[in-house]
Amino acid sequence: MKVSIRKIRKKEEEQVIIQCVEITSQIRDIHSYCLTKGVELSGMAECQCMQRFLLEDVYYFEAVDEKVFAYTEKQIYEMKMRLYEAEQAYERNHFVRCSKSVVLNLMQLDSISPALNGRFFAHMKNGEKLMISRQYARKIRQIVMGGGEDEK
Amino acid sequence: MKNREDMREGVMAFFVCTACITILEGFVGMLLYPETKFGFDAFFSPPIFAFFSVLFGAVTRSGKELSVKEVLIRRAIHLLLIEGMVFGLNYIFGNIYEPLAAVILAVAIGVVFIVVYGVLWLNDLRNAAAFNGKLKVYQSRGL
Repeated sequence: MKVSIRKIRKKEEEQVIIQCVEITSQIRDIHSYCLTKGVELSGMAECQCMQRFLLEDVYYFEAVDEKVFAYTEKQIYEMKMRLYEAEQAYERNHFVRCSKSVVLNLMQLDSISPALNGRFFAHMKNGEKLMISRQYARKIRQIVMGGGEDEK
Repeated sequence: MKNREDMREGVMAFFVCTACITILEGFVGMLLYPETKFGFDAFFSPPIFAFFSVLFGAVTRSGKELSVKEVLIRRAIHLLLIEGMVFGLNYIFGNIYEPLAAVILAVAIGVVFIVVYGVLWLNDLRNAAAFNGKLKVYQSRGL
């Protein structure tokens, strides 16, 4: 496959165009990869200043008292969005709802293990442990194991 | 999808319950009433008890996300319902237990209850292991 890079002046106009005869699984993988890269978000850091950070660095979004926070390895950012908006906007970036208050990044998920109360623990790559409710476990399993409706 | 999964879990719980109750009845029967003989109709009692036990499991279900404490309370209610059902059905069919036998039966029901949830947890563990394997593949495709 030929790959070419053309330099442009404006960052906002950066884009990746895939030209292909048919959409194969490899093309889908490249598409998926491109979607997850370079998406920048801005949020209020703990220093009470607005900072920019990469979506791929976010481990999960959590709603706490009507506020939504994005958790990266070292920082927590307060976001100006609702949790369902994060869920919908970043669904194609491997983010998925795992409980009523958390949307996690599947790319930052290390493993899952069963909890005693019929739910599952999500062990994130930074060592944090989140709860996956049974209701959302089905969808997560479908995305990871079954392909199906979420693999667009 | 959701109903199918629930149905599958229910069926699995039913068969695990049936197996555990059969073993329990065998052991408790040999211990308390070794001289008693039954007809073939006795084979129906484990699946009947298992069916009602799984049915009573509805009390552990909820549309909202339950805390660990709430889950434990609901499971305790589930166990009480099963105990009540077993003793109730036995009472209806004329089996009245002596205090010691009643205690042994109640404890045995509790053991079966824990074993069934243990088996279901092991199944979740197996599913989690399968998921973790696929997760690595999923992540390698997305990277």
